[in-house]
Amino acid sequence: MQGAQAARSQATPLLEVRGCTMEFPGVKALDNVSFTLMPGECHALVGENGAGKSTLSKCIIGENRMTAGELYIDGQSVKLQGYSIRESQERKIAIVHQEFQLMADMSGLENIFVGHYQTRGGFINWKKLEKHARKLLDFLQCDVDLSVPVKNLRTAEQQIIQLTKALLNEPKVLILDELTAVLQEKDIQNIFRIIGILKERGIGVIYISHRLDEVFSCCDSYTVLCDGRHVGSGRVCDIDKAQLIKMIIGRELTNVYPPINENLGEVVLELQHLTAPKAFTDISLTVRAGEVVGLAGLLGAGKTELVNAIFGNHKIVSGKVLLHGQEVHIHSPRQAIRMGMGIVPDERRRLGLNMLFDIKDNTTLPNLDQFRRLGIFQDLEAEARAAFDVNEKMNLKYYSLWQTVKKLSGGNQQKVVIAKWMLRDCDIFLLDEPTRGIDIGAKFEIYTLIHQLAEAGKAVILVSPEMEELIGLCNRIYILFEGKLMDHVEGERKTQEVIINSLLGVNEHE
Amino acid sequence: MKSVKSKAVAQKLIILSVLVVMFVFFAIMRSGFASYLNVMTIALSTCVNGLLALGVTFCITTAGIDLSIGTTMTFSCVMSGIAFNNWGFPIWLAIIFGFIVGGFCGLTSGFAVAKMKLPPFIATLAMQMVTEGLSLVVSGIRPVYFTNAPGYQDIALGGFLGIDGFYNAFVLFVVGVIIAWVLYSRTLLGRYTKAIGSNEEAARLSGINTEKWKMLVYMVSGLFSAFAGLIMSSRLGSAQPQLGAGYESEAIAAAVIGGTSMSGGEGSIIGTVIGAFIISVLTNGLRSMAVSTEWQTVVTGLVLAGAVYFDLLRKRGKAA
Repeated sequence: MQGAQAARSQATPLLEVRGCTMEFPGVKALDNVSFTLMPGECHALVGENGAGKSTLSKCIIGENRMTAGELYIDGQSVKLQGYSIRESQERKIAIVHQEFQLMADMSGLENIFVGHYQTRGGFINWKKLEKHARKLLDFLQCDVDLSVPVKNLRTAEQQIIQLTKALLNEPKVLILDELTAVLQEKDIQNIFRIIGILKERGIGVIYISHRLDEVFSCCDSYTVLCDGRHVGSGRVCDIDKAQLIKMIIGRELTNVYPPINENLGEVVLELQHLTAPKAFTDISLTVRAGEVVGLAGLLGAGKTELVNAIFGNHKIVSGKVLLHGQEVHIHSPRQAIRMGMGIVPDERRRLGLNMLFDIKDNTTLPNLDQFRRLGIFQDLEAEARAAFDVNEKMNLKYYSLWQTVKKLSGGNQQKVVIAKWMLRDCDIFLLDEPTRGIDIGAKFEIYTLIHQLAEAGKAVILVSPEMEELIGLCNRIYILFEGKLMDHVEGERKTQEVIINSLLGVNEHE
Repeated sequence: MKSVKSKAVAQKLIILSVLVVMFVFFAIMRSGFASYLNVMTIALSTCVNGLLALGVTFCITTAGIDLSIGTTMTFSCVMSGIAFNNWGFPIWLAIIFGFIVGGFCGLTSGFAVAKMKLPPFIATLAMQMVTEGLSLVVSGIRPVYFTNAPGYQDIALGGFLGIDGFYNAFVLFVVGVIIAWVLYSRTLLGRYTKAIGSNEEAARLSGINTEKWKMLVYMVSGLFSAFAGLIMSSRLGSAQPQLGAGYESEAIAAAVIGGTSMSGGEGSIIGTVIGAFIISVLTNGLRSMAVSTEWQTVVTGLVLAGAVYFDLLRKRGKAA
């Protein structure tokens, strides 16, 4: 072990990034970030959503081009001009993405070699390819059926296929981007084992994950990013979890968020033992007027499904929904809207907005019944006036109601989605990751809006992957783990540590 | 506000100028082309295709298609003729019956698309075959004559307010255009049509009963087909069961040339009307220059491809 340590300190880094800056129009995604990866090292890259982890890994593989900075691979300086995914592959860098990049209907074997089919006389030599794939799987000490379509495999097996595909090129640097986000505990252990094998071979692994426990169980060193800035790097054995969390959060929480509304009214929405198969089980919760209730959970914990179920967009098999104490049966979004609900879906572009429509038409879409003349004709003037009023109130930045929403910034687009429901004067707002993919400044404006909704006596359910956001905005937070309610925190228990434990399925009461 | 509004206007001005340039070109090439009589002939020949195109504009705007418009047109006027001749309906009731048939065919396609979730292409292709076959079955493959209805031909061919050569058909077409425009631009139906075509899932999450509105959209298309059938049978004095298939391609071409996007969400009634006129001017002009029917079709095809390509270039230029 000591020998390995000594060797490591002398070896040239496999990968070195110095002063990397990456600017998108209007947003500085990375600001002067440095990063070093040694052979045989597993280096954790941690930070909140939007901290710049994925952007940094994209810079390393050549998908994004750094605006400024230097890149060294194996001690050699790399010319950034013209650096591409192709070149990074030639330089033995591989990535396994958090999103699946497999072709669902093709077999594992076909997927592994897609783009690298070796042919003989125009025919693909499947036998040889199969042998090659088997050798790689043996190296990982895994056994996966390569002959069936990958959609029939378990998620964990699909991940192994992705890993095998990445190993085809015999990489020296392997980036694992949230590989474990959708895996269960024993599969995660298997990934750790594989990482061990890769490290023995001298491969450097960049490990991106939200789960801090994983960092401590399989990584040697860490780099923390926060809002695109490099907060710190070091060896995992020199730090504890609390310190790491503090680095990740980065700044003082207190002054960022508006105060939490304490003036609560009656219970507006109540769920009793709500169950939907494969999504969530036995969820009971209450939301009062003027209250912001948070839903926390990892990817696949059932948050989005729960919100959609309340909105009539996801089938419920058992349990009750009560509005103002009365049981209601909601089977469609239309009914939910009539009962005074509004939703801000998680995917703004796909679900929240009609991208071809202008601001006015998007704002008034759920409200067109309010602007009729003679029964069937639209009163365009009244419509425009109402759209104007509500968007002014929301402080939307625009030059015309008749501009398409496509060119608005993410934050302003999100305001239009919220405006739809403000115009309808809904009682219940279901906000599913309202700050996803929008920059810091716009986030604060959304926070202020949420606060205003609460002050106005609305009931708000807020889903967010960012714990800090939930802690800063919510009166109470419900934590889901694999579709079950793990915990329910308020007051003094509303801390990152408590929430993280529940997020990972660790129940501290036990 | 100005620039956004003017974009849509600019698009219409471009195709309008294409129409004018074509017209001037043929007028220079052939002396009789710009005559009052020929212009009225062009207008008359635009009516049927134009009405079909108006209906299909709604379907295309929802990112769908209706391939059954031509045969639904035939089927509705054949049924109207059967109701008049064989069932003893008075002529006004027979005409209304034609609209009911057309609307029902559209509604059925709409049901297949919205409720059964068939792809619009398949659902309406099936409806095309069904209505084509049924027309032949109920008519016994013989034309259905309206000779016992005095004045039936005047519905299309009578002079409006006694003006010679100014056909009633054209006035009816204008009425159809106004109805379509009001529906498309001034009612819930039109807004929801565009919302569904632009982003169906977002529309549903905004509380729109997308299934219901899609069915209505296909019903509108069926009703316009029946309207076209009325004009067609009135012009000919009979319902011809073997006509119909193939009419949909010119109607779809008119809508697309007029700026209706096949991927849905965008379109315009005025554009469709101009598109329909472009096709008739082209056909009439080429015929007046003694170009054979076969070559007319070739040219129309090229114009269609060209129009859509230039529209794409224009949009791309704007996006960049």
